[in-house]
Amino acid sequence: MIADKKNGMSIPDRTHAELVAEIMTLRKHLAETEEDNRRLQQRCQDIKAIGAGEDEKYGLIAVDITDQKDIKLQLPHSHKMEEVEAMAGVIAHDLNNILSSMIGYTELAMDEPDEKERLYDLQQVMRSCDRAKSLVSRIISLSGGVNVDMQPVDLSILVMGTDPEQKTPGGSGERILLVDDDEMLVKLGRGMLMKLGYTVSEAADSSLALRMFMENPEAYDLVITDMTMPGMNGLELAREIRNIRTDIPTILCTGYSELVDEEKAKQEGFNCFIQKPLHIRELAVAVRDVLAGQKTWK
Amino acid sequence: MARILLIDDDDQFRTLLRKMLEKAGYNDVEEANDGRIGVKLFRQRPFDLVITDIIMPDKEGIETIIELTEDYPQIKIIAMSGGGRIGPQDYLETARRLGASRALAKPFNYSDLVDTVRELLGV
Repeated sequence: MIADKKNGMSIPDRTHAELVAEIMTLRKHLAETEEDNRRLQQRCQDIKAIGAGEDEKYGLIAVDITDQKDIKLQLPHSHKMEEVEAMAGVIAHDLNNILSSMIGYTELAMDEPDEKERLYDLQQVMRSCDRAKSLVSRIISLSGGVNVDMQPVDLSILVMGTDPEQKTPGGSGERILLVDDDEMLVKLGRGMLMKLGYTVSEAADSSLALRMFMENPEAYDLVITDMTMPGMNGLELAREIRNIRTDIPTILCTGYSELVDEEKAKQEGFNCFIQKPLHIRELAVAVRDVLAGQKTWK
Repeated sequence: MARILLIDDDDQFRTLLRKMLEKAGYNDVEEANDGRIGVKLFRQRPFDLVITDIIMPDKEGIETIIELTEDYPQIKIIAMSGGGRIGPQDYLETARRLGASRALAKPFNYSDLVDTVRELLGV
């Protein structure tokens, strides 16, 4: 192999032809490994030019990771750290690709006079968001600490047959108290719910939410709360709210949290557990089912 | 009209680049999803500019750049990378040393791309 980073070796001066030959060998070698690991390994190739002189000669450092077939292998600590570094690189690379599409298609959409083209651009932004979402799931599952259902949501199933957006009685006016300490997300959630025909009161602070509920507990048909918030978290807020009115339906809407999962939310008395980031359809289904009194727990 | 070749394994991103280039008036754009096809297209009929990703599953960009610059010393290449095990700048530095005229670190925006293309093509 070209060089061994572990031994600190590098190869000083190479001709183009030699470089090409070595890269070919490296590639071929990597391609012989299991298909599952092939892409990862290729992306983990560590190719770096060093100290090219005026005579246009090139140096190269590469790391052969062919022997690291299974990233879950119980490797000594230093090897594990190398794996972590490699994975961080892969993730950064993938995320930069996704961000590139997000930025670019958003820019195009903002400047696109044609309605159809703009819709196409926005669909690509949404696709990038889905890619980012599944990347986050991969990161979480690699971290191994959080036991949540990481299955990607198959939107076609939700769309098929019943369209929750259509089925939700438009302007039926059911009143929802939405709680999230992230201003942007609370505005987004409010916009989605209003689009679905609900009346929404919002609170970007859990103690404000509790005061609002205390003032008029009958003013709401459903409370949707975030988990992690300064002061009272979502579990604590929901407990307080249920103390005031036992029959109030609640939905826990959270990002990845180590404090809570679907099982915990169920035990706590929530009617449904949904995970951010959310598609409007996921929100629509959860809200519709909870308000219809349907059990959403499997 | 300048002819531009796009090489990237990310279909969504490649389409984005094409749209950006078309918006800037570059309508003669061809696409390849890896270096092998890119080099083949180039040999059939050379392009005025090649825009290539660096890390691709089959034939990656460094190899593509080496091959193209050896056979076409005057070639204009923009290398793009979002990094990998090493940062994007390291990959791009490699690309520059190996003959890429310019390098763009992902993510970049419309004007980063178009300014670089205009600078290289002079139109």
